[in-house]
Amino acid sequence: MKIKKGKLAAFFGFKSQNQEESTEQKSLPVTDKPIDFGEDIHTEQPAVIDSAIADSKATEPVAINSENLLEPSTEIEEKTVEVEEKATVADPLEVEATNTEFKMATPEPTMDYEHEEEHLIVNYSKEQLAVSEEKLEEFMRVCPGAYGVLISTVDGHELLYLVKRDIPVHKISTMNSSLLALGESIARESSQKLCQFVILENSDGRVVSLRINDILMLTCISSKDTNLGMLLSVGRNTAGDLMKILS
Amino acid sequence: MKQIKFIFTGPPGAGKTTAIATISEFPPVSTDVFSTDSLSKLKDTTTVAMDFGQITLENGQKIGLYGTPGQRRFKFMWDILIQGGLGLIVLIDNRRPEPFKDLAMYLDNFSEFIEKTDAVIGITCIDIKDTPTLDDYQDFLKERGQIYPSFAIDARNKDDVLFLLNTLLTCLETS
Repeated sequence: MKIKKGKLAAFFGFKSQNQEESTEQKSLPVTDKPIDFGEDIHTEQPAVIDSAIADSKATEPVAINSENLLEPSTEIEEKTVEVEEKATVADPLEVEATNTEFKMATPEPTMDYEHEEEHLIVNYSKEQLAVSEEKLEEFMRVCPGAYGVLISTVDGHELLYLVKRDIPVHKISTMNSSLLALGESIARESSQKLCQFVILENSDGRVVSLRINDILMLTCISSKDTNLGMLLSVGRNTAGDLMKILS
Repeated sequence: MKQIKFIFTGPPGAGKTTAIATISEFPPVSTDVFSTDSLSKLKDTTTVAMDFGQITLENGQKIGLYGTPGQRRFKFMWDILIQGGLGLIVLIDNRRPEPFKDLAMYLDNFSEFIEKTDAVIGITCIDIKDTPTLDDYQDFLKERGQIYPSFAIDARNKDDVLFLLNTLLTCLETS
């Protein structure tokens, strides 16, 4: 069935349909050439270190030093990703080191159709990431109940994280980006200003999300061993430090 | 009177947020944030949770307009947003490298919802890239054994977007 435009017009009368519309012409991005999201472009994965995934009962964060971070065999020297038209092809990274209990994260292999724009354009140096990682470790030390802390982009890509339990970091990054955006929208609609935290208070823990800057956010996941005030305070301080480091 | 809920979906940049903003009777609720991936080559921001607008029919019937994030990593939002929905509007950007794959992906992922309700398809930017044509889309749908009304639209044009809604309402009434 192909319905030609016009045949069904005004079948159901919209209030505005019979009026002369003063359509607000919001400009859509227009390009002269076909848009290519670069399916054939594969860049290195974000610099995410998933520590202690194997040990869900760990009580202390597994230390990840810069040596681990820059392990040559993992090909993560260029952990941060800058998309270029002729980016080099890299094998999917799934490196697991014995005894060190860290591995490079890979996007969840759930895509039956790969048109995702997964290639981050944010670009941070190894030093910035190493210092940021120290801040995450510090967060975990100061908050004994914390079992996950993630730096991710506001559109849902994980950048760097430290977790003590086997949690789906990619999903959590994505879902928290939606949650934070919704929280900020609800604040706006409620005539309130800056949304500082989005807090999930659960029976056995808390998830707190907050912005680091315009493009990055921090998610803190904790059991109830750390009280909310502490979690918010340390989370805010960590986000403030990260803002300076990742500016 | 219960509000009817329609869902706009489609790939990033297809015009979902724009279409809702074009016809909504109040400034739509938006959850756009900066794009930090390849999409930023096309647009600065992307929807990460939902868009929400509303339009009222002459009989007072209100239609809630919900836009999904385009990226499949936000599928959890798709599943949330379709709850209580009565119809799906799929917008496809004709400039994309493989618009048929785009279309198939959304029809597949929303298949259960569409089976219970109905769908219409709006092809955007066909004035910028004229292939595939509307006939090609119809042939593609026919091969899949699916028949949905398909139109070339400009998401910035109120009549175009209203026409999609009209068609979807008609399909729902007659099905």
